[in-house]
Amino acid sequence: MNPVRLHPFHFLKYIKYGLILCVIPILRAVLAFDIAAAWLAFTQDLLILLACAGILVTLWQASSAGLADGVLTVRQGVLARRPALYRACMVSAVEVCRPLWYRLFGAARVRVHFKAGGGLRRVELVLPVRQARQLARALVPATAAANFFEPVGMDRLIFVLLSANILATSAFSVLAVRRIAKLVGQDVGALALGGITQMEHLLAAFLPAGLSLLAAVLLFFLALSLLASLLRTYRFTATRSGGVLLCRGGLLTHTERRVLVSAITASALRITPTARLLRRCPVYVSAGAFRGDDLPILALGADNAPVLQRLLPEFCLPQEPLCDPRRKSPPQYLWKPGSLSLLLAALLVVSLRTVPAVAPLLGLLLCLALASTLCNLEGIFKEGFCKNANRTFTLCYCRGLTRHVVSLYTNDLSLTITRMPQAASAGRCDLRFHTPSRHTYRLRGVEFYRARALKFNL
Amino acid sequence: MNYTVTRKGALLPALWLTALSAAVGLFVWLFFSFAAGAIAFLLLAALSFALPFLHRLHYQVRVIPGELTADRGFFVRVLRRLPLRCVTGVVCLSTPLGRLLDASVVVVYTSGTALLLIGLSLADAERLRLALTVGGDPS
Repeated sequence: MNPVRLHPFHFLKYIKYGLILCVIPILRAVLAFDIAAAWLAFTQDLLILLACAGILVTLWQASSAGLADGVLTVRQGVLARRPALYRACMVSAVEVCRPLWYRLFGAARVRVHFKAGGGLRRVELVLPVRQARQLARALVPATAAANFFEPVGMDRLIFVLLSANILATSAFSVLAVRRIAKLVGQDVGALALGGITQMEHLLAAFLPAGLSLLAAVLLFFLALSLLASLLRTYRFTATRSGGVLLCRGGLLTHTERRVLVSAITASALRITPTARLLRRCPVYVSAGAFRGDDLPILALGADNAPVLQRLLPEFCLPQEPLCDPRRKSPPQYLWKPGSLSLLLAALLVVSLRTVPAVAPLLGLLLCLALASTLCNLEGIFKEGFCKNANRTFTLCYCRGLTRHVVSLYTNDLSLTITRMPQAASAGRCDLRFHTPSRHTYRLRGVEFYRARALKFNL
Repeated sequence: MNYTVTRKGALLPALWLTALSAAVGLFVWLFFSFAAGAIAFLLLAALSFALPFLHRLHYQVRVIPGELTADRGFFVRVLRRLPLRCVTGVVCLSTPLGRLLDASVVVVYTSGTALLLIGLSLADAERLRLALTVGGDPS
């Protein structure tokens, strides 16, 4: 790939505060339909905008990115020139993202993730679209092949439900609303509250007053997370060809991910409450510095388990029991969710007499705590690890309401074995696996002699 | 190859933690009272001075074929195991106080985590660094 200039958007990070300083007053005036004030703000900030444009052009003209002889060379900087060289053989995955406003200006963000063993984990560039695709194809080439996963109809709905992350989407949306209100002066949160209030009035016909508000808030955030998931998984396809896993999808943000199958370090199945209801679980893969835990590559059901084995040849189901439940300590698993459940139950009993309006909220929290207790109870029987005949590891652990089944395909692991005094006397420990993608998997109540005897060689 | 922490090596983190306790005591004094600050400092200093010495009783760093293990802790025992071929870098730091006490800080990096060893002697730190990077036991 011949050297090309980086897209000007790559250098926005250097002038973003200047831009924000200039653009926000103009935007506020425009949103208030005050064109005269907007023009005044523009003329006042014209000099700053011209200076920002000058900096952008200067940096853009001095930049280049090219791939030749297996080395990716990126040159940046004006006064202090910084050519950076990256070996293409160390690349484990490449992501090409095109958010909506990038697409308007013909830009694409390329994230190149590297395999384990080096200090650098990833590098991010913004290139013109054609060159970004060319670079991705050159770094991780994939031949055309049939899709192994292309959800349509009910499968699509299931995939959307499995990919939705209610907590992350809710937190992100609350922060975004506050940020927008602060910068632009428009209280978007008031609009959302208005919608929630209307939904509450609707639900109040069927539910008690406190519960209707709670249900309205939950439904609102659920709808938001489903919408985000729907947009992210629009026309999602996953293909494996020539040793490369290729995933594409997204409506507002087009995302293309190319992952080298030989560089995949771990695959994780997340058995969430939704997954249990739908009898499908999402599969996430990580490769070197590429974490891949935001979007699954596959929704795996009992009937298409061989698909995962064709996709990841080293994947295998655990060939021996992961743990011995008789040697586990139930209090270690149950003390947190159990004590929380007891506390919430006590508070619920008190609130039913004194503050009935809070009772629905406490009831909901109690249900969640009891669900977590059940999940941790399952962990007593399932949490553990085993080394398979093909020298990969299978781990299983429970956190919150989710059971995770992880397969590790790399020998680049390190272990931490922690023994509390009481557990040490009973021959138990907590075992942590540290992987190159900076995931740490913690297993509770593992037999110390098994953890101590683990061998690293594959 | 076994490495342990000497009494002087344990003194290094003890002094650092004591200095931190003094900062906390000063903070408490500024916001509450001198007596509260003094009590906070004395309690924290006693704890932070004792813990490194207790910690060193079981402290053992070993380089065995293919693996680096670090066994530490008194109340809570922690055993770290790193495969040697996955070590990506080793950093040995020695501060003026550390050189006075013949104690150093060694950080061993792998691609997924880092191992911090405080209190090894300067000679042991150098031997460990050579064993991890060059792969030999210097005589």
